[in-house]
Amino acid sequence: MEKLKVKIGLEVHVQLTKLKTKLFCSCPSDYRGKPPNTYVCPVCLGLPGSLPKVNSKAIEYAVMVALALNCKINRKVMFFRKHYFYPDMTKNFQITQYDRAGGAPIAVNGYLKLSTSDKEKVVRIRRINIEEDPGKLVYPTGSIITSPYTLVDYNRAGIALLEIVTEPDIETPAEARLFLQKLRSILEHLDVCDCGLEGAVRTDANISVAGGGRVEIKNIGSIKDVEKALMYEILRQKEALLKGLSIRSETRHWDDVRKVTVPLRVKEEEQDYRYFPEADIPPIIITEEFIEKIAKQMPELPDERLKRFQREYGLPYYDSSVLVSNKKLADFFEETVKLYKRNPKKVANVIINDFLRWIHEKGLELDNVKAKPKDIAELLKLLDNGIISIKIAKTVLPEIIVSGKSPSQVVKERKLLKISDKQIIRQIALKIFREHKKAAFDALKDKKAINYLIGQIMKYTKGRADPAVTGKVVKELLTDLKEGKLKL
Amino acid sequence: MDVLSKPANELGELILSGAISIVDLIDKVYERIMKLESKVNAIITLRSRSDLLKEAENKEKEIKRGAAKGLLFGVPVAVKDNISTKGIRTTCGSKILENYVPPYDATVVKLLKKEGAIIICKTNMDEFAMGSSTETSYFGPTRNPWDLERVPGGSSGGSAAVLAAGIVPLALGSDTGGSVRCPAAFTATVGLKPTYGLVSRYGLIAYANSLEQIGPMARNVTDVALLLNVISKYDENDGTSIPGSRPDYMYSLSNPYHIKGSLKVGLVVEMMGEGVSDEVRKVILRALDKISGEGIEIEEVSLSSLKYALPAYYIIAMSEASSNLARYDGVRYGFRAKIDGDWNKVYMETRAQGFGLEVKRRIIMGTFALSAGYFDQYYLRALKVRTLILNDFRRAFKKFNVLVGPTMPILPFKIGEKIKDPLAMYMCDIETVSANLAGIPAISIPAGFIGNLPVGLQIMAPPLHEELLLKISKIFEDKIGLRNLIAPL
Amino acid sequence: MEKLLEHLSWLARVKLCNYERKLLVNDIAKIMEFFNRLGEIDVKDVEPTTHVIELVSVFREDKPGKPLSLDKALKNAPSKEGGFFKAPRIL
Repeated sequence: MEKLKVKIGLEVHVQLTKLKTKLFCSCPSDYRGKPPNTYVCPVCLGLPGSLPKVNSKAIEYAVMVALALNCKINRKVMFFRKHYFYPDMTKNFQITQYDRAGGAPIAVNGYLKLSTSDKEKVVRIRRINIEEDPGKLVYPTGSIITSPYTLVDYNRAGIALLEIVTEPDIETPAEARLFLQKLRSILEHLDVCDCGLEGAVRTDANISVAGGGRVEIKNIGSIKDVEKALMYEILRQKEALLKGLSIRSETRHWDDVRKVTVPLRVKEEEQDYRYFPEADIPPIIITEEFIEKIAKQMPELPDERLKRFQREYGLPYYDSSVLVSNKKLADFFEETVKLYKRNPKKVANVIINDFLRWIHEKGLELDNVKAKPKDIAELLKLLDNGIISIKIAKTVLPEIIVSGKSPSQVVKERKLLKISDKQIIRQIALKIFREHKKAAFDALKDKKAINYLIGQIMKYTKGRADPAVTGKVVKELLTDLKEGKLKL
Repeated sequence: MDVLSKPANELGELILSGAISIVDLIDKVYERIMKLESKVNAIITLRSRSDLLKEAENKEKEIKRGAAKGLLFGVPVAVKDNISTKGIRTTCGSKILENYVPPYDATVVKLLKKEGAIIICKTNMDEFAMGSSTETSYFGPTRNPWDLERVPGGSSGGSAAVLAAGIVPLALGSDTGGSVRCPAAFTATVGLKPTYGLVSRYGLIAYANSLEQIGPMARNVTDVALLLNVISKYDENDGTSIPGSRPDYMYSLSNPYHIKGSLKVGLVVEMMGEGVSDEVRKVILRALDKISGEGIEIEEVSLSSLKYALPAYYIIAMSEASSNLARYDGVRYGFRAKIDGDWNKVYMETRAQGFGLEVKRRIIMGTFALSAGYFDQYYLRALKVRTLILNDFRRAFKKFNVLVGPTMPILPFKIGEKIKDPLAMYMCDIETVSANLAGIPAISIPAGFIGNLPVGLQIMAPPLHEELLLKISKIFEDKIGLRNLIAPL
Repeated sequence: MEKLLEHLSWLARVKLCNYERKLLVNDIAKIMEFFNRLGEIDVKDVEPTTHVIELVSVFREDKPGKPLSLDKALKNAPSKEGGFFKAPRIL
């Protein structure tokens, strides 16, 4: 089948988790893990008579994100009400922003540049809204279908969100992933969102294939799942097109257990949100000075950091881009380099090739990795000083990642010190020669047999024998054997 | 009865000096309620006698200790039942909030308590303040103390009635399109709608939040100024509260005739035109006659956009109402229908049983005005008309210190007379809504009577000119000579 | 008109009984006519007034306050369970 034109747009909901309070009230915002309905007040519960009061820091954070995404920041910002009924809503309208009917969201018309292997890609940002999160529904049976009633926890209600909406410029699921990774890295560099927290970043993706209907996939929880959902949806739509079916515009739900999208039953008429200005919040005036002040305080962003990594540490583009794609990883790298200045490239190699692989293999996140930069630096030093072999280093790494012990502690506990004493290795080699007499004699004429013998020594010493010394010892023994100085 | 007829500003002094016992006073208030409430039905929730007496005793002890302070120390006050009171149920005159007990005090209630006022009761009102007669209350209509067959006006009818019945000297109302001024006019009391943003709305249960203000009500202008002194304060919990300090309105009344130059009063011709009954027109003109002269010039002025004020007001008010009342779904508080079904079904039924007809009518019409395809034609257009009205007022206030007209176009009408015809009821607000649309302060003071039926004079001033408005009201009150009136019951 | 009313009653989640429907169909027509009076006035180039007093938002500091106690938060709930509000089923 020929390549069909795919258009993808994303709506990313980002919780400003670094705020101390909610968007419109002073309830604390660290609601995760708290007993239900203990982080609520008249305002976020929507009690009659309560009124919203805007969190100043939320505006600051929004402006920072808008600047990082190259947006035009509106000077007069308005809040609107968006109406729909649902039990997770405390007022049955959401205070958000709107770009029509005289509304002005915090920022519009930005872009984000993505670097893929072969080209630079620009994804345009349509707008950024500041809005409030709804509460959380809990289904007593665990299923929305079988639960005879619904439990509601409003701790999350009123948490500040940014809704970042792109133009449909994305053409592949991989690009969508790259966009989200870069956005995440930016948000973390700005220190406005701890994106690793459960539910901190939720994405709606809309996709149309070959000019077909626009399908919206709601509420996808992780970057990986956005990619998967889009791949699933492209396949589904292509198949339908092959069968001659047309794709109708609809809203689908991402089932993250079965990894499929399923249609949501939505009544057509429910989509009338009746947006209108929120009279309880006067317009917010964003002054030039305010923007300048924020611009001056902007921290280093991933693109700049990438360039600095190349310049300062002499890293290749690829290494730098992998490191800055995740702020914590980049921080980890720099911390390690501080403690191991002699070879940043070597640090990058260990982190990218080994460290990341093990994290992935153990199913961990950078957050719950026990190893600290000082451990990686120490590991590299042990290696440099000839105390452990590269092979040992590779077995020590996963253990320090999981246990949090220092490399030297692991080496000591597991007796992993390198054996480079020639006498000891000679004794071990002799023992191996005697146990593998045939191989020893074969080795006189066959190189393969030599490797076999060395391999047996390594196996016996669990990799601790110094390879250089071992090679030398084996060679000497073989010479002795050949000259009859050695009897087996 | 004697103490109960005293103005609040005198009562407060008598209490602090020890001349009046608070316990006696509260006892008398309670007795009078027991005597009249069955006739008037002005109260939705009356605090228990023991609670009230305990508070009175404590306050008396404070006086003996010399610790008593506050502008309203020991003064009994009534509060409209759409103003949240911590621990006292706040129903908004609706079944849907029949058992709702707020866990917090509205800012104005906090301020009342801080000045030592004793909150006696929560007063009856049109359901969610939607009405001009206090007939749409789930708790039954309030009767006008001047004629029990007639309405007291609305929606703050209960607050006006407890004043006119001589139960308390002060009451809080709220005014979205005339809800303080209308009942003031119908009961020969005084009611002020302040500049939008002067008094905190925090805790006022919203009907149409871009229009409404809590307003002081009393039996004379001075007491209104006193109550405004207490409740008018910048509130950081209300984003629309105007920052900065407020003048001492009582002080400005100490020399009301001290107004620079001659006073120019504009009689708005649009407010004296079609729909205004001859009787009302007559009383107003007679009152203006008494006022004019001695440096007060009255001249006619036209604000042509006012013709459109009423439909613009109703579009905005209903739209906002449909939004503000969406939260009553029976999940977090309030009434829930006892039926089985999914959330949609339960919500539909809860709201069907919990809201009265007028509330449903306004929710439906407001939903319509905001819905896709109609937004520009109705809501947005109404906001533009609002701009035109604002501009007309600005122009008029360049020439006139204040503008006047009748508060109500008609006399208090009979209970049941208009309730079946919504548009006829809406027409009652024709004089009052423009002040809400423009956000300007407006007051109603007694202008005269036709028989035993009161007529109110409305006076409007530029934004934040409450000082001027109250001064002028005091002058007019002196000249008209109607104050501290209590209906013979 | 009846269809419009049904749509509005769904959008606003207010069930209407037969009597109310009959009444409101009639009212809507009259009230719409009343609203339509605004059509007479020229509003070309007029800015809408969304906030009548020209105020600029005064912000709140990002400083945590005390939330309601669980008891108070749930006190008015018609139905509750284990610290949660109990709402009707979704499907």
